[in-house]
Amino acid sequence: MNIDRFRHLAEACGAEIERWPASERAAARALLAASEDAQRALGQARVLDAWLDLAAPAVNDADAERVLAAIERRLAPPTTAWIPGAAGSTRRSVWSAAGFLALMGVCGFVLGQFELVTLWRSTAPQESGFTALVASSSPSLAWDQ
Amino acid sequence: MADVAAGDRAAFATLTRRHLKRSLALAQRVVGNAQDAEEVVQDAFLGVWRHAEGWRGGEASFSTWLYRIVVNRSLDYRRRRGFAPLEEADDLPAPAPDAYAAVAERQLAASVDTAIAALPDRQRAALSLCYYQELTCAEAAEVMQVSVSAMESLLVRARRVLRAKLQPLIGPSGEES
Repeated sequence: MNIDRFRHLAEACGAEIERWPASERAAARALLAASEDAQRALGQARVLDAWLDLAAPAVNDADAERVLAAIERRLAPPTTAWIPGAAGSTRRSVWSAAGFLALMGVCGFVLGQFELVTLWRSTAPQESGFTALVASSSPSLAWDQ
Repeated sequence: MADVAAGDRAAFATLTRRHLKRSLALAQRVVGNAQDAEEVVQDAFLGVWRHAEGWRGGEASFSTWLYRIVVNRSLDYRRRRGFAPLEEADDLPAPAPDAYAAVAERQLAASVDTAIAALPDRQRAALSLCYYQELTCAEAAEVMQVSVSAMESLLVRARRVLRAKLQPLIGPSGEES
């Protein structure tokens, strides 16, 4: 290694020879031990390093945690916001359907009980309310008649 | 990363936590301020999550890949936001005669910050990777996808500009005073 290369590396990589290319470190140290020019070049690099150290970005734990939380929030797929709602909607739908069926059952029972509507004339003996409810709630039974 | 690629959110949280501070510091240095850096880093990690499936490599190369994403997004961010280039940046204020004794370290750091922020983007990114992230020239060159000699050249130019900018503070010879 000559002094020009040494200066170049000191200028590029700073005074910490450990950060220099691994293949050139031994030669650099040898030159440093023998050359005042090399020592001067390293000294200048060290001064600039010290100034750069003043401006080392500091990231505290609170900042990191805040960013972590923000990433977590953004990571949630856009569907997440409505997934719980959607789950609720599903539950609501089930209950709505059950309520609707129950209402229809009651209507069918009432209609059948009081013979307000006659869908077909059965020749069988008078059915019980429950049988009518099942029959009126089962279109396939009615359509099969 | 295999777990992350498989959609494991806990593994991703662990990975993020491991690399977050260094990524923030890198972005902060390249973008120029902490607030924008946070946005850049969020985007970078979300990009990691989205593209984890295609990842092939070990932990060391993951750092390289991550830093590449952070640097590229930081540079894009600056381009989009139209940050002032070097020639438009203000010169450092000349220190008062008793500056060396009177100026607080924080103010000195702010001066260095100003000088670094005024560097051209790629020089600042190179300096951030090699100096603040403590990567070797070869590692930083891989991050920025340039040759090692090109990386050295970026660093030399960056440090020369900084030395010139900070000359009023450093002193005429550049030796310790």
